[in-house]
Amino acid sequence: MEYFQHIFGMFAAMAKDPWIIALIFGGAVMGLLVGVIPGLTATMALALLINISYGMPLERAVAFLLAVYVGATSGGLCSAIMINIPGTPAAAATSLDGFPLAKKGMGGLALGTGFIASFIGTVFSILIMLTLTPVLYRLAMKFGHWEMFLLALFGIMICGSMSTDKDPIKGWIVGFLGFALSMVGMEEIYAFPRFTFGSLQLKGGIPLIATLIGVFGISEVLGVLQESVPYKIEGKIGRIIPPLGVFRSLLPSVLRSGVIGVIIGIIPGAGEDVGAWLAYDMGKRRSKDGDKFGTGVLEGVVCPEVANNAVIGGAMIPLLTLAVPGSPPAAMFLAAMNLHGVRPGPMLNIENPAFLPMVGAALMCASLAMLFWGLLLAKPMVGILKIKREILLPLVVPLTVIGAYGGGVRIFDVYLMLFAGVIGYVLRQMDYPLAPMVLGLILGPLADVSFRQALMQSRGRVMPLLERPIGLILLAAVAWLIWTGAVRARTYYRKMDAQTE
Amino acid sequence: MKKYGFLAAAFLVLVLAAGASAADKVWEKGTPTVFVGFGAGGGTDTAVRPLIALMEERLGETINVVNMPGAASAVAAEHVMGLAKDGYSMFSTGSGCFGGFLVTDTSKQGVPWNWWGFHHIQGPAALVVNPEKSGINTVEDAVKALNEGKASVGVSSLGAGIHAFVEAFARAAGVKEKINYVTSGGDGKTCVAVMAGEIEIGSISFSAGIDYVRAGQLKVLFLNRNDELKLSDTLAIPPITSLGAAYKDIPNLAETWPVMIPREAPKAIVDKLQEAFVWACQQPEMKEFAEKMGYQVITRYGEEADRVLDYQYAAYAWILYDSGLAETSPEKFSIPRPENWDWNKEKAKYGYK
Repeated sequence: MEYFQHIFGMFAAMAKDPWIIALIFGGAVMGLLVGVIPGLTATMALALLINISYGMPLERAVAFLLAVYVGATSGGLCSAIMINIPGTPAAAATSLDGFPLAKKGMGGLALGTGFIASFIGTVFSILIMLTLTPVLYRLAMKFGHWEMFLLALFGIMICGSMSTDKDPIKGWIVGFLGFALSMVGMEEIYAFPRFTFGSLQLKGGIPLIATLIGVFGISEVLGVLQESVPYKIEGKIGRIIPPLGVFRSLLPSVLRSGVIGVIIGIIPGAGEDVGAWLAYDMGKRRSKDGDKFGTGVLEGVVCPEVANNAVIGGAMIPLLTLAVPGSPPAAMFLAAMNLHGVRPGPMLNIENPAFLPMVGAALMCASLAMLFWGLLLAKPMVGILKIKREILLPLVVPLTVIGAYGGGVRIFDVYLMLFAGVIGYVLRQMDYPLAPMVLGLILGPLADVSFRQALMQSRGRVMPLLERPIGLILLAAVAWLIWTGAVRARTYYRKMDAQTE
Repeated sequence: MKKYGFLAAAFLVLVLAAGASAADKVWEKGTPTVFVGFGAGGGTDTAVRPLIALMEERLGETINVVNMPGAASAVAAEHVMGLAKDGYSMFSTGSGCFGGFLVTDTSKQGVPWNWWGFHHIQGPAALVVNPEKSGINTVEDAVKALNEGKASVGVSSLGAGIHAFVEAFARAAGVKEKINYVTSGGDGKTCVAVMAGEIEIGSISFSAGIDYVRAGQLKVLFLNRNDELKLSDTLAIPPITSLGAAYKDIPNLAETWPVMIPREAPKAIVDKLQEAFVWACQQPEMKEFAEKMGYQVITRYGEEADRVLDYQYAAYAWILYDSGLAETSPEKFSIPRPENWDWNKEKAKYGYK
């Protein structure tokens, strides 16, 4: 009872402080804009703003930083839907149905639905965080090196099989190309340089953000410029807020995606992108309209957007109880709290019992602010669709350069972005999906390092994996993905052969 | 005409005022940047940001923080050394990283004598266990389990200070069996792995585990410091030196997370930075931060900072080489073994007589 009094007390305190309200609304819009620009991520925004928050009282700093976090996580959907360039890796799955919706002239509806889904995802995860944290944090402790390796492998495989309707093998090829690229640089255990050819820049590895922008952004620009008559998008704004019935009919998908997002958030290292892909996959498999995923259905926007925002509350659970962040932006939030003298971890509830309710209340207000700005800005954003793409996309190029350079402050990253753009363009021309490459790049190091750490732990033996229930479930899931993917590929090629004959 | 005269005078006053304010500034031409060699939110980033925030407050100027991870911070070191040495670019990393720059062939210019260092805090290493899961309750239990090959030791990464700490302890304790290390990628993750029973023993920077120890979820066997640490009236943690004579010579390799500025930077900037650094270390916020994190405020700069860092540089370089993590011998770079290290012989390269 005292706990709930804390929560309501926090809401009341925040509502009374005009500075907090201003910081939440300011932070949310700042985060949204960061999320919209390809390459700028929630992690970067928080890194830049931590020192600004240092001079603020704790409540204001928490409210401000969480508003930026929520805004930036949601903002990525705008560019994914409007220009088919995900603003953040977490929004890559959203573009699969969001962009086709925009091409059909339903960009406004897709944006509105995406923001509402993001809001629902955040609120769902906050409720779970506030009520089940003492129980759920133990889940993070169940994920050892074997489980992390299999989860990463599962993530790459699932993204590979989901991002193309036709041939999952193509998705896997691209996914493992990303995996292979992630091996470049100093490996994390023995600091051994791999595939660096003596280059100091390559010793730092292939930067994720620059590759993301190149693969999605530059290749999209090249594709549009190459077409003699670039495709035209209907510029009608249409309705922004979907009818209530849409979410009522999608309730099972919303709940499922919310649960997936929270669980992925709890597992340290997985992050928003894995949550979005997993929810998209489950949506496609479980929905009665699953076969229409990828052609432009609202459910294909709702699933990843609910999930990637639900990761926020999930990631807070191990962060607040074990001081182990569930995602990269959560790691930044942990750093900010350390600066303010708050030590998340097992003593937090004893030393600072009001902190968890404070985070819950701030997240709730931040998600409301995000929804407000999202719906308010959706109409002007749809106006972007009216600009001819052969004019709009070259204008995006300077933004991509800023995004790529801003990640590591290296001109090398800009060159690499351009190179990745050419690779992405070639892959597009050959009908390969691009998203698995980015997920391979994200999850490759996790899979590689976790596998080797697992072998270190078991002194080189693989058999201990068989004694781990969660590991076995994940192993079975990977095997199942390979089997169903192979069957799909065989069916596709048989159909192609029959058509040729 | 009078009106124009007034405007001209006002403009002149503004220009003079702007000039005067620029002259008061430490960095007159723009905003300085500290390039942190590890990712945002990591241990180095978390340790150095409070210092920078307090120095900003003292100097009344903004100091940008840019995270430039890669090659154990060698990428950031080379980047800063490649820029103009005008005092606008600084570098920050863990003190243990310098030892790897030459022997792993990652940075030629990042060596300690090319920088002035400002070290605000130091974190002792700790050996932690979960007696319930591992059955290890004492130092003797730990030595027995290591000798029987029944215990793995978790470390955040190989070659770091906490790894060196285990090797030094094992040598002193007479552990004959080769230790099986499991890396975790972070001290917090090592703590969780020990609590979950995935790993029997963890070697961590104590700051990462202090709350688990307070909550009774982990037990510290000993700390790498010379005196006992009283966490509460009922909880005191012994120092490694209390274990016996064999442990007295274990070097203090407790890491620091300094802000470094190229030695060729203008003296005026270095002096003001030093003044702000000393002020920052004296602030109650710094003391509170250090206490909460299990660090010690050390306020180390000038020759003392160079002396301690040079010793760590030599010790880490040899640990990396001896444990097979570096292929090039430190001998090639005239880096003495820690037991042969003598500051009087080394200080010339720093420009001291």
